[in-house]
Amino acid sequence: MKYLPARQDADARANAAIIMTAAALLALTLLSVMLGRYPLSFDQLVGLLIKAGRHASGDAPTTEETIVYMVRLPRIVAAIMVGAGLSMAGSAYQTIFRNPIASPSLLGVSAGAGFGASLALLMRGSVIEIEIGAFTGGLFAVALSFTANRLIGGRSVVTLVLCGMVMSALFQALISMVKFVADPVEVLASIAFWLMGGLSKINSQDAIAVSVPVICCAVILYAFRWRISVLALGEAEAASLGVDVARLRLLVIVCATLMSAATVCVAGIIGWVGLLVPHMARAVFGLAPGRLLLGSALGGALFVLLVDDIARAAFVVEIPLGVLTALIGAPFFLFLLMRAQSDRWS
Amino acid sequence: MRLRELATLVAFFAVVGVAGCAQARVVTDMSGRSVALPDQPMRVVTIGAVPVLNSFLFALGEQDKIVNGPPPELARKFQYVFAPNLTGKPIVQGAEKGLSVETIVTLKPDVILTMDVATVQALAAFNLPVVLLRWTAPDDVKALMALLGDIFGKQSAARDYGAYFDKTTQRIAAIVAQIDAAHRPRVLYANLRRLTQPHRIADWWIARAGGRSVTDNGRTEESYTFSLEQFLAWDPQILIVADRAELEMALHEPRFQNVSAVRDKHVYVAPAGAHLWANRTIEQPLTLIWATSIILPQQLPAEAVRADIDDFYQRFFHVKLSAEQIDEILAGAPGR
Amino acid sequence: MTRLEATNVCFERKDDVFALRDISLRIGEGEILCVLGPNGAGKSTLIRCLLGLLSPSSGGVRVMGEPIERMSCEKIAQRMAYVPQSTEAAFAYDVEHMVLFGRSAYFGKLGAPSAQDRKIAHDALDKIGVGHLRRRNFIALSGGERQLILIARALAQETPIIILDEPTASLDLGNQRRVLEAVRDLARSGKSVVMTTHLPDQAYNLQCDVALLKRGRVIAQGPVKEACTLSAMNALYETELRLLTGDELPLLHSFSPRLR
Repeated sequence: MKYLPARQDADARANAAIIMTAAALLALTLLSVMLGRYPLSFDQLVGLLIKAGRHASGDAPTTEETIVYMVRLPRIVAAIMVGAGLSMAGSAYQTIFRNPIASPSLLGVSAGAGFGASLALLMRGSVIEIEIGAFTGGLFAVALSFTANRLIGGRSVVTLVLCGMVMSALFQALISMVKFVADPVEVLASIAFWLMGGLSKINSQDAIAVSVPVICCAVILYAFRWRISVLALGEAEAASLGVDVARLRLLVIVCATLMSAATVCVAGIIGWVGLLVPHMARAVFGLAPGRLLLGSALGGALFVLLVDDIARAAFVVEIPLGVLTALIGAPFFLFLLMRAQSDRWS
Repeated sequence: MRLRELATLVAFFAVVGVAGCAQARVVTDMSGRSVALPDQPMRVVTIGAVPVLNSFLFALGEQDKIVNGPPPELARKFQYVFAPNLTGKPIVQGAEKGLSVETIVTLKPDVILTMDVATVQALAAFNLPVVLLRWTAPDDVKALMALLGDIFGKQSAARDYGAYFDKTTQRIAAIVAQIDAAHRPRVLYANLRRLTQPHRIADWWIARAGGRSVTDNGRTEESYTFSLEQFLAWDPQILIVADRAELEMALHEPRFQNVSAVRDKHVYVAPAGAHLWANRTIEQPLTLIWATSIILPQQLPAEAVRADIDDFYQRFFHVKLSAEQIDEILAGAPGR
Repeated sequence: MTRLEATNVCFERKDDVFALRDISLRIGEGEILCVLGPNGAGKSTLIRCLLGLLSPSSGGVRVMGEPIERMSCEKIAQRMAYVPQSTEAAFAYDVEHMVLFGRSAYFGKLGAPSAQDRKIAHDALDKIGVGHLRRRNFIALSGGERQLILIARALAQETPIIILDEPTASLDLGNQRRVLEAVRDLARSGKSVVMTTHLPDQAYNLQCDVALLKRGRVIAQGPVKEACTLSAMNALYETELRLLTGDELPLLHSFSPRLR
């Protein structure tokens, strides 16, 4: 049995961790703006940022400005939002499903979004149509999980999770069907690349499209953070403590689904972030709900931004983001499991 | 019982003998395999890059012999203009490169043409007469046509084509030689949706046409994937895309505003006749002529190009194209 | 004044079995009601109906005179606190956090615990006598300490009614005593306490009212000395018991099965 250190110490350490993570994120953001195939020196960058304030909107942008403001910055913002969104969704799910290794795709949002996007690609839709397809597909899959749970009269989270598993499997099968009938010359490759996840074509619109749902839902989750955390005690206890379990759970699922679907529609399927980061965040930032949510968001943003920088700068050909997060995340999770000695997760 | 055995044996030899008589000669394909073919193949099946293979046959005047139709994802309007008999013909390849072997066998082909090794292996097991064609280096098309000429007894047509190919390359080389190497513009042929340069041969014809292909880095892979930043760093002066939808996309994408090709409106759609001219096709000499006309417009005016196009299709495809049809070819595919 | 009242409550489970039939109970200020019964008698189902977690098929529950079905979750939580047999918390909360959960009904829709809430939580821990465990990890504690902390949480909820579901299950004698003393103190401070147990001795020690629950029916009700006779106990548990009398604390197993 381990004693936790005195409360004040643990609190202070956790608060310091938050500050350090935020600082690291800021530093990485600045570094990321400088990273890329187009050569840009530090002086040029500073000059650009200064000029931004006094830039007349009538002039056509220079190539350097295009690179920084229309290629790199949107990508960085998107990476941060994807990381924060998936982590917060994962953290919320781990709380309400009382499962320390739940992921945001538990109820089928990833598989549904993948199917929606694949269908749009099959019908050779435009980029907007693909994004809409992904978004609606994700929402649809989760709605189906919910409805299925209602139909079978399930009253606990266990049946809901099982319905989610069923829907995930169903939509994965449908994705395979789409791949099967797709034209191998162009479409099949496009689908495969999309599913692997990546931020290589993010523009300013995409960055905004993902930021809005993530920020809005984050605000909602933060506002309700304490009541949501009560759900981790189990349904009977939470209800007896005054929490409207069914409604709050629905709210959390809606927010988490919106965030996840938004990230999938601009970035494809990115795994492991929503599972790994909240899990680690509990160990580093403690269980105080507000700090935990903030810590998850910052940690997720840091992780995805770092991995995306590696994806675009470390190798000659860009590696898909979803592949790298899995390649890095899975072994790291194993490492964490090996180091987990305490009876934190019984 | 002995009589029955004897009768079976006789029948067997008779069949083999007859079959043997029909397989009158043996041809060596471009992978070195020996294939038994009839003297005059009357039924041809094309598998894989169907429009490209069909275009070889168009150039030899053998399009009537094709018995399979182009699959819908590869079909082009001009395939049917050059070979009206293709309409309604059965399709023998499916979405995931699956070959409908039964359909192929039912068609009773005298020769099957393909450029994929996998197809050869799949069909050889069924004792079907598959001829593998190879076109890796730009000049390979001449050897390819020579082989086809041999198969169809159209050796003179094949030689004719080879001579035309050489003559065109020499003619263009002479035009291009007048330009200083330092003044050659940067050219990119790319699929902008996927940010890839899909065919290595584009590096060849761009260079021959007087440009500098930015993706020419001595690679051996067929396609080359690049990033958005790399594209902006190259800053091509001429951009060639595969369809008109990509042209629109390139001109309106806010991030491409500073790229020289977009700024100066030097974005062109590669023409498409029997196949996309930018990829490997029998119409490659026309690709060279067209590319030169856009890279060095002073040296090669547009009217000369139209005359060359008209001449080519008449000479090799035996089709007189109308002005509208030539416009259509030059306008390129509409895209999605 | 009747704080909690169940009137003719029936609860039918899906497989047509009546888990509860015609239960009528009432409890007033400062009173303790022990619901005694064997395993499977329906004690947990009754608790859930009283807490409003299950809707009875017929009959009703009134909390402070108000029908429970008209009350919101929050309002119920401000009137009734629940001490479960054990907690199913998924993560390793520390003791202070665990007790702070008891203030959830007072956070308001978007709130977080205030300094006042924390003070109430600390006071509750001190009152139960486990204040020294405040900074410890909840799941690292012993069963008895955990149960006391759950009672402290119910205390922090500042409700007039507290319902405990078999609070001494799997506790050793020393911890049983501590928990029962805490329950007695709760009643002494004016709270209405409903407790389920399958040990009649505990009712004797608490000198409270009992309701004997067998197969979903209340077969006897009233002060423990009247309702818990040897024959009643034999009928309740369907076995032969011996009655040993004594009137000293701590707990004595006054009813013990006669082994064959």
